[in-house]
Amino acid sequence: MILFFAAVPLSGSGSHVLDDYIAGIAAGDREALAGLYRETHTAVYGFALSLCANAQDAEDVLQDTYLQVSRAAAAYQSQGKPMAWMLTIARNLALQRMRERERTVAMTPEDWQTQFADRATFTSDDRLVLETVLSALGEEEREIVMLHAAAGMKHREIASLLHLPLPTVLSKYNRALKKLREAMKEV
Amino acid sequence: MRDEQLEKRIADAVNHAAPDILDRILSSYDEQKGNVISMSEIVNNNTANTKKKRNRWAPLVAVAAALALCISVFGYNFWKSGSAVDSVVMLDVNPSISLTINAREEVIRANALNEEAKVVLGDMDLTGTDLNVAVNAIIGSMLQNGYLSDLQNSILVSVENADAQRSAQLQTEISNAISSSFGVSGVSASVLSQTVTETDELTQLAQTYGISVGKAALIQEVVAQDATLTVESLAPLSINEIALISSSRNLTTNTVSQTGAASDKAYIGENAALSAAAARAGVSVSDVTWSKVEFDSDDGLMLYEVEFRTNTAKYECDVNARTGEIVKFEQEGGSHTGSTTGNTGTTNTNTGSTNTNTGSTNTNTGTTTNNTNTSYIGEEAAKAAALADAGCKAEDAVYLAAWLEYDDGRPEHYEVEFMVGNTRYEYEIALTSATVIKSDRESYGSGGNTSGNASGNTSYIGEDAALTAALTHAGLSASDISRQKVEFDFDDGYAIYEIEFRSGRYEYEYEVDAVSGQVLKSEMDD
Repeated sequence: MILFFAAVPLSGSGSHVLDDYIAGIAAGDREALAGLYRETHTAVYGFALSLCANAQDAEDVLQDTYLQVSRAAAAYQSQGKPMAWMLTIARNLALQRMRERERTVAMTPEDWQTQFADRATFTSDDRLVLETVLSALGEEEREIVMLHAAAGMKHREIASLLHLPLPTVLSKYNRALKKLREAMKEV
Repeated sequence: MRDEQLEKRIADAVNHAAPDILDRILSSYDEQKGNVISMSEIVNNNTANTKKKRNRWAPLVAVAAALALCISVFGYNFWKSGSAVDSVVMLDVNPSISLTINAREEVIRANALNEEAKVVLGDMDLTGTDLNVAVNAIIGSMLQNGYLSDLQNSILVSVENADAQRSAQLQTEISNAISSSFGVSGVSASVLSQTVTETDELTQLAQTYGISVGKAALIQEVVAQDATLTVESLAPLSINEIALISSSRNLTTNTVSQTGAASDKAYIGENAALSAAAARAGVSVSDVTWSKVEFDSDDGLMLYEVEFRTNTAKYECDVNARTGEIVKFEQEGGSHTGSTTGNTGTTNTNTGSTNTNTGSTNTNTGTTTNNTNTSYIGEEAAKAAALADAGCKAEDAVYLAAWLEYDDGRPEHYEVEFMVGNTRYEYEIALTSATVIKSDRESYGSGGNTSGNASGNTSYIGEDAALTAALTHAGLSASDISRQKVEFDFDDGYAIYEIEFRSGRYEYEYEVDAVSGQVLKSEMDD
């Protein structure tokens, strides 16, 4: 039972729900995998995008992450941090992919045209925001911004996920938002 | 644009950009479920798969294919009566394939245990063929598809059969078959072979890392021989890479036998690695008095771990084994004496921000120590310089951290960050003198953001008052609760206390504004 006094819950979608999904996946429940995907794929995708800086790679990492999660679910031990566990998996997969090709591959204007063509709700403002995030920020800044803004993680959780001191995360985050504001002003 | 608006735009953009690939994931999941089968499942289900496919052969290395076709025709007559499982043989390169065989050494079933293995098996139907022929065909296909080559010549053979003698005999036979298949290609093989008894522990290990039981057994054995290696670090590697790491460390084992040497042709070599490390240290190889070079890996990347000494210093260096790039460098002693590692970890401040972990800088991409003949002022001096410039005292800082900032692996300047009141300062301080290169300050607070005034000596209500505010909100008194935890934190630049405690069977979490004491968020959970 969870009672919320305020409108905003403290830790995103409850970690119990995600733990239950992962337990279901470990038991071979296909629906649990679907449930976990629906609940978390936006956060995982945003994070993957921040690491790969390329929509196609991010999509591949997204897919691989859930397959890896389904393979590793049996060994997962809940410490109340299912999201951090999944994002760590996504991060490893993304870094592995980047290492294989020894760098990130920037998206061409054509990529921007075609990659999101089938997303009904994707607007030109969305494109502007994502292009700015990917071009104006360094990799670590992108990670931190996506984890906080898109995945809803707290700075403290980000610090622990990325093994960075909290003040570093805070300052990089603030600097990154400043950069974004300036870059978006120029457009 | 305020932070929250910008954050919302980013969240919306990601939300709209995220693809819907659930169907694709589920169908891969179904395939994965159908194909990653443990050895015991194969053995237990040996009668299940009796359907006979057409004998279609993918183009293979010529000799192997001709041989295979020839014998499969003869093999078929014996097949029907031979469906009782005698042994399971697994071949691991990076593709992992299991062959279930009967007592006449005919293949009852061939299984692809990963995606690469599906490519290798292609359309081949090995059912009913002689084991040697099947091995021949598989090796041929692996060579043709580039999974085995001059650069990656190692293959692991794992046999599961309760009879040790029979298992050893099979290992020898298969090793010979593999060597002869390689003969055609001009590549020389390195074959590792072992007997495997599947246990729950092995199965679990294999599933956790998505590898075959045979590979899991090999890794388990290697890790048992060298405690500095971990299953996690070895699992993503190919058999060739694992074999290289084992042999460079002179590991010995009774359970795995090896013929031929694993190829190291893809890598720069130990001498080149030592030269690269010495160059990074600024010393000549002729000055090196002692050295040790071993293969290692990090996140699936092959490294040379180079340790060496000169008369005055000791060095440790990790070198990318393919490119020669330095990925980690540490020096002890040498031209700069004293506490080179900069006294990390001691800067943590008051106000209960227990997990800030400041100071322990730059542990990842290497480089704890500065190199050669410069003497840096140190983190404490950098802090002092920044505080002096800002007109602040260390004891007033909510947090205070300093670290060496690197660019392209070289120290560039000291970065100092601290917060006094509701003003946050960022400084760049020169490496060798207490010179301010750059400074920036920003003030936060309820209402106004950004820029300028260094004043703002806001004081926080303190942990006790924050806890009291939370208790009042929850309608509890201090004696009602247990396991309380109060942490100071910043959320979007706002100073808050994060509070957790238990009362009865409920868990409470609160966020309290550190300035006003107002309860911002609360949650109760059983």
